[in-house]
Amino acid sequence: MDRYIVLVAVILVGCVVVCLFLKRYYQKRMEAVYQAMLQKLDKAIGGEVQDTVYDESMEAAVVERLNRVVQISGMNQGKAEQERDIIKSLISDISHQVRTPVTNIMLYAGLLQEQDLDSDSMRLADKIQKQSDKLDFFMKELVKSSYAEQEMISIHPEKISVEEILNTACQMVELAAVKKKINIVLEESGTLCFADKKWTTEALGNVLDNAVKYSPENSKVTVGVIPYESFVCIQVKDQGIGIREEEQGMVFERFYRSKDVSGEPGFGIGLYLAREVFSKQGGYVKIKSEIGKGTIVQLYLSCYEV
Amino acid sequence: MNILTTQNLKKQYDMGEIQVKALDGINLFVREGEFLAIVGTSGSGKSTLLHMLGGLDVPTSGKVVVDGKDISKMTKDELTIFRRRKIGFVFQNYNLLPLMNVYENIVLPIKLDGIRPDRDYVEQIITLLGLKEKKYAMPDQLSGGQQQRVALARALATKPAIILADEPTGNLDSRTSQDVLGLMKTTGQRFGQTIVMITHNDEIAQMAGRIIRLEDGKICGGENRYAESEE
Repeated sequence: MDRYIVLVAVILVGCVVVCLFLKRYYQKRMEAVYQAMLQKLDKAIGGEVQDTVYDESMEAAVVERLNRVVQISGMNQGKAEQERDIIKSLISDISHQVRTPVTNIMLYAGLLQEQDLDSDSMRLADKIQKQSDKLDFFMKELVKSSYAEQEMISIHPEKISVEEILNTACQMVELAAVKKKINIVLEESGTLCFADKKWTTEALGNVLDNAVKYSPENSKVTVGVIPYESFVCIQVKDQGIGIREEEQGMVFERFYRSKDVSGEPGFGIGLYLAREVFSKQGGYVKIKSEIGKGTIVQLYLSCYEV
Repeated sequence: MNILTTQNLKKQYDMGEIQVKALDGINLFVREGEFLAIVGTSGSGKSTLLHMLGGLDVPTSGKVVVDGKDISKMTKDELTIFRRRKIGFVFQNYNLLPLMNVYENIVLPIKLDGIRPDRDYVEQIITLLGLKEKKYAMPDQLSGGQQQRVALARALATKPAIILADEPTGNLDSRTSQDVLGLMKTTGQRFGQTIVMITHNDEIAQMAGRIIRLEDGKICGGENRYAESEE
């Protein structure tokens, strides 16, 4: 009798132990499955199409579906991008096509002015000249604003010296500065940064252009470099009209123009483009300004590859 | 879309006879992906507000809604997990664990979640924050700025939707502050994160896209401009 009880007890205990083992085993397996699933989902979120094996396992079926989702979302994105590209290339085509005749009109108007004309015709020729200058300016801005479209700015950062960028950008505005007798002071520095040469120069050129445009004659524009541990700061300081505090954030928005400067030509593209270019290469832009005293624009570039 | 909102948020402390209103009816709206600075003098309630937003403290009344979920209704356990997955914290005094090296500190919140760290991603943030050479250093071998960068990396490690920063540059000199803030801003941009930072320093607040002023537990200035636009 006792023997039976012991035997039954042993069998029962054995069963419980086996059950517990099985439970732990399956729990572990489930966890592993979820873990693997989680990783696959993470990859799918990252837009990656994953390798599948074609067998009867659930896993393969799930991966197959996931890949479908990734492909569908990729396809929709691709379609939208394609449509945008068509419009963009149309705009840039038109603006480039128009520029040649505009340049020709300017040339012929100039030649006309040099002719021996009576005062009435002279006046008209002057008007043609002025209007075509204006048209030319707008066309240039239009080209710039079509650059400003996100995908048009393709940035390939490399290790270059900050000085190189400063020198080229300063040359871009030299003529305008000389005309207004503005002195551009370039502070020396031997710092290296990680930036796209062409676009960064263009962006800095825009900032300098503003500094010159909104400064009085005989003033000073200082371009300095401040090295930090992770960033290099290019600082452009002018003695111009300044920006009101409530507008300091808005000037970076596309097509935003302060009503204080409605007399000056411009589209509200320059600073927007500058901010895009800098944030695309791991930097950022900051502004400090006091009305009537001047503006400090700080452009931060990354020191190392990001 | 508003990722973070508070509705009539109040917090009172009873100090014997006197009631202290730390927060007095805050209606805050934070958009996805923005960098918001909350400015106020000490005692204005800004730290209390940040703690409420992160579920570190319970409000006396009112709601905190994160990503459509009312966190004041969550249980303690739910809240812990929610915090770990959704929110990254950066504190003034870094709060690094002194016995772990830089890498271990960074992956700690991922490991707490029982998930294997995504090595590529972790390497990416280490490189972004310039900590490559310091990967195996101990916290006490690092400068203040470096320690705060490790703390930022740790906050980023779980890919949180929101980063809450409590005076992140309070212990740093102005030069290092600029550096850390710049990294916060650029990593936020890169990973599409919403950042809410509190500070008493106007200069530091200028780094943010939007500034809100807090005084005596009330929003008293700045641009709470999404208030009417939604709901």
